Amino acid sequence: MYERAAHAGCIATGLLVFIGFWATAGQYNAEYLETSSYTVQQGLLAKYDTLVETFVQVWLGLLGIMVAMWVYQRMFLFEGLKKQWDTGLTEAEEQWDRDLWADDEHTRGQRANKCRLLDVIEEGYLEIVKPLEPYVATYIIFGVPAILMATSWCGGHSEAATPTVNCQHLCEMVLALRTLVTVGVYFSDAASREQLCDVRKLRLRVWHRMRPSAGAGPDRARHARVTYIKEDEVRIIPSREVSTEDHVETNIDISYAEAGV
Amino acid sequence: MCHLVLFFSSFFLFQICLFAEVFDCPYQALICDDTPACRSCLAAKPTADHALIHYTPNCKLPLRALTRGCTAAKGYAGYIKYLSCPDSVAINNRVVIATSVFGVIGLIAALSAAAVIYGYRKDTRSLRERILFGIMFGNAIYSLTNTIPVGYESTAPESCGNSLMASSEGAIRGMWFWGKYTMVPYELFIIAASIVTLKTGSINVPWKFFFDFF
Repeated sequence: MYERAAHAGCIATGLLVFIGFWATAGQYNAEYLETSSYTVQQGLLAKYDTLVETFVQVWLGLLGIMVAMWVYQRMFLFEGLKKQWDTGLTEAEEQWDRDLWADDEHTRGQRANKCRLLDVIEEGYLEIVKPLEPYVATYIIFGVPAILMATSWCGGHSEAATPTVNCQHLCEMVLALRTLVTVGVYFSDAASREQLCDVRKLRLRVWHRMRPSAGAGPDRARHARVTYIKEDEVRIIPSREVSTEDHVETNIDISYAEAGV
Repeated sequence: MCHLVLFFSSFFLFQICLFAEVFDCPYQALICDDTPACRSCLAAKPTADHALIHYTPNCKLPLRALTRGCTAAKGYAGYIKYLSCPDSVAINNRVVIATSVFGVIGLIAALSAAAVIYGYRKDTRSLRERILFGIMFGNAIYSLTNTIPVGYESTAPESCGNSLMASSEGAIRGMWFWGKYTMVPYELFIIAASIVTLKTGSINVPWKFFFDFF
């Protein structure tokens, strides 16, 4: 539930920004088309430029917060943890004999708990932090053209009346590559790449998940499963932790897991 | 004469002046030369047989009276001459087209990544994949916006630099911000999740996520 709220917040932020910008720019555009005064038109164009600049600067502010948090996470939190892991290992080696002879349950229990916690954190690090780091790095690298775009120098080299190569267009072109780099990072994982390359299987999987009839009734569900197995020749293995209604789907999942997905 | 009319600014005489404008194309050029905004659009001082114009999008309104006058007046068809559009506009158009192509490729790529996450139900198993799904969504919107060549400009001498999609600029720029402002909270989400993981070892979003974070 809390995670859904976080996702909803992320998407709503973008949507609200879109509505806010569109409404304001639309108002300026209507005024621009209505007026026949050159001065008023130029004033409205300046207002529009200020609007774009403000939105870019707020975005840069958020980027700055993100970078500051990343520095805290990487330089302080992670470095501290690394020290703790190293210390924990050294302590465990040094005190192994002493613990055996001392037979102090409390000390051993404490040490075991600490080790367990560090293990859990390490697992979390490997599951969440480490795989997501390249995405953060990508974002930070592509922050450079975004910052350049927000400078007055770039603004001066982007005016329609100036016969120069448009700086903002160049920055936008570079920023358009960010999606490709982000997706490239995702598919740098061999397993994900294989999943993408097997287009037929991917298409079927997406189709099965999207299809509203999946799991709607036993007959249709069974039909879906049989069709699927026939097409892909994937062996079904017994499911685990399955409720009756999502039995078919879980079978399909596990069968894919079995197929080396 | 029209200068004098304007100087006296009598309503009746002003009407006559407007009437005269239709016939007197070179006169409009002289009026243009008298107005700073319009003068900046003239490449040289207007003469009796031509007015050389260096068109930029800012000239659209100041030149309106001159172009109307010269279009309506008989015998002045070739009076207005335009300088050719600078190469920079054509270069800008190439950059815009390149952005558009990257946008198409990026959109396909982002949707492919989202399809892999969705099709293989990775999102049901891992917070990381759910965040990545959101990032791909933001990237898809961003790339979709990039596919539209909103910055494409006319290279014709008489409309050089005029945006061909000026009216939809607001909506498209808004979508561009939509993509950007969807991605940046997701990036913050990544960092926040990373901090909570490093502090507690949690690989999901617990109810005390924000307390753990601080």
